[in-house]
Amino acid sequence: MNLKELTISTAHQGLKNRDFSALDLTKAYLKEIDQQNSSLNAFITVTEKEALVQAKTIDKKISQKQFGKNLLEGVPLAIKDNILIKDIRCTAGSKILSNYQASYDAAVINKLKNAGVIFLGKTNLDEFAMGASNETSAFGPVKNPRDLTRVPGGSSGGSAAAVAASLSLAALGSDTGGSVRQPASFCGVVGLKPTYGRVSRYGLIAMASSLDQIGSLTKNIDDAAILLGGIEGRDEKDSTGRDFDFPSELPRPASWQNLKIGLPKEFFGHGLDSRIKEKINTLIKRIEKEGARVVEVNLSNLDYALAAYYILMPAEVSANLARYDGVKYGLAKPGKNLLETYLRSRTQGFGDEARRRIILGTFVLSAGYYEAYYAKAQAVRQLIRQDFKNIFAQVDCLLTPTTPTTAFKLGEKTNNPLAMYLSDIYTVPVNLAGLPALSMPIGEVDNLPVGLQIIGNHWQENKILSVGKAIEQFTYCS
Amino acid sequence: MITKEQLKHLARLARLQLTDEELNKYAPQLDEIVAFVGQLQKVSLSKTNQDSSADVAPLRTDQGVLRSQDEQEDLLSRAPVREGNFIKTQGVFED
Repeated sequence: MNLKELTISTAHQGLKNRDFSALDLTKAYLKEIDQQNSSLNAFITVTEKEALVQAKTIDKKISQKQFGKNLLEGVPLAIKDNILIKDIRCTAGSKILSNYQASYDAAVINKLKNAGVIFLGKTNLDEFAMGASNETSAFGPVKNPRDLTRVPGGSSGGSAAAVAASLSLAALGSDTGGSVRQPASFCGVVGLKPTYGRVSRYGLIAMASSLDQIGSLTKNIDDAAILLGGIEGRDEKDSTGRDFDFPSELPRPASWQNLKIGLPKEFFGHGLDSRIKEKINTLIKRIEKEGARVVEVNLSNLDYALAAYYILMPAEVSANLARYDGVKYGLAKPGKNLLETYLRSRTQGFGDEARRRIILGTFVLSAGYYEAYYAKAQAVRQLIRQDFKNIFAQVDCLLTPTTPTTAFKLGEKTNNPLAMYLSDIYTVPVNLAGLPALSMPIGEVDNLPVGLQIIGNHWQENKILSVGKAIEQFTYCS
Repeated sequence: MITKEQLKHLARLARLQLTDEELNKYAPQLDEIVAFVGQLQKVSLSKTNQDSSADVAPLRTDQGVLRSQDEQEDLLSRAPVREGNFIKTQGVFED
């Protein structure tokens, strides 16, 4: 089997036809991890023993002809290390949880276990998913498989690198402000962030709860749809879950004649690498030639989106991370009284970026500043939601670059947090509005992948996936 | 403008203890970030809907859930210090 070319569908066929066993497949990935992880640092924990047991169970089902139609059965996946798998260490990339064993399965893990997925291990991430380069991880940075001197993006950098380098067939990540799409773009894979409320976050370590969503990193659009089908669905344990009418389906390429595509002009302005812009413009000309109507639209509050995000997100972070106190679980550094225990455990447990965001959140929520910052940011969030609502009354979906640049060098932005924050500029508005969006590779600049972002209206994952599938056909043919 | 003194106070509120070196590092960084997010002051609020949180984060009434003994034990076993079926901690109002 050729791991580089394997997809979820072809793996399923291979298992079904007995071209290879689930054990062969699992061992092949474990071998890649063994060979490449020391240089990529994509995995924090490799669950070899459990994976081999799971694989043998699947093989038994295959030999007893109980292997069904479920495409995910026997598929080896990597899981971002902020999603709980019972009795497996879950660190969230933080020293404060470096010895924490998960006490239950996340809702998505429960679904995937029932589907017969094989878990290869837990992937590296920025500490508590806070970062755009994977450099804030307490377990060291992940390297971009395309160029080991560059970052893989973040915060799901380990998941993106694992899929890009064939250390796993696909992976789960989480996306609060672009943490699935941005690393997908930097590593040249497909990253899908579903609509807020489509996938349960029960068992996802909370960062900013009004924005967090679990998503997938895969090799192609079909795999993204298959994996979405495996994790979506309402769950009573996540109160933000919603019922929806359009379960994910295997996408058929969209027919361009019936589509109206919007280009938000604010996403193509100052700060965008001109070579990325050119790649996207070439693609858009092709789409127009195929018969799609392409119109320019305005997202006039985009300038404010990032500012609003960097108020709301840290505010929620400061509240969510208050639970790490050295008393209930996680790192404990006892002091002479309770206050000192808090101070010592948290100070020793949290890294730089976590501390900055906790303090920033404390600031914007503090008396005298709340109205000026937090309340204002909530109002701006509402404006942005309204902007998108108006836009989706006119068009089917939006095409934008995923990131303003290709993957940057390790260390390039670590001393300048604000510069790091600006790499989220095109992905953050989507989270503020709770929309679904995906990033897919559409070419390269200087041998580094360029990502295209497709944004859809709420619950229209099937539509953006079918647009992605149509684009995939001509990027792969060209 | 976030001063070193203000930063020290904020850190204390957030239950973090920063060294002088860290204060000197974080103060200008946070100052720059606060200046950036401060651009929202330019947005006029008159045209906005301020009641924004309801559809984003609906409140749920939690029911009392009975946990099995195994689950209880499982959660307790994660605590740094325990005594019987309690998580043990220091007193809040001790001298």
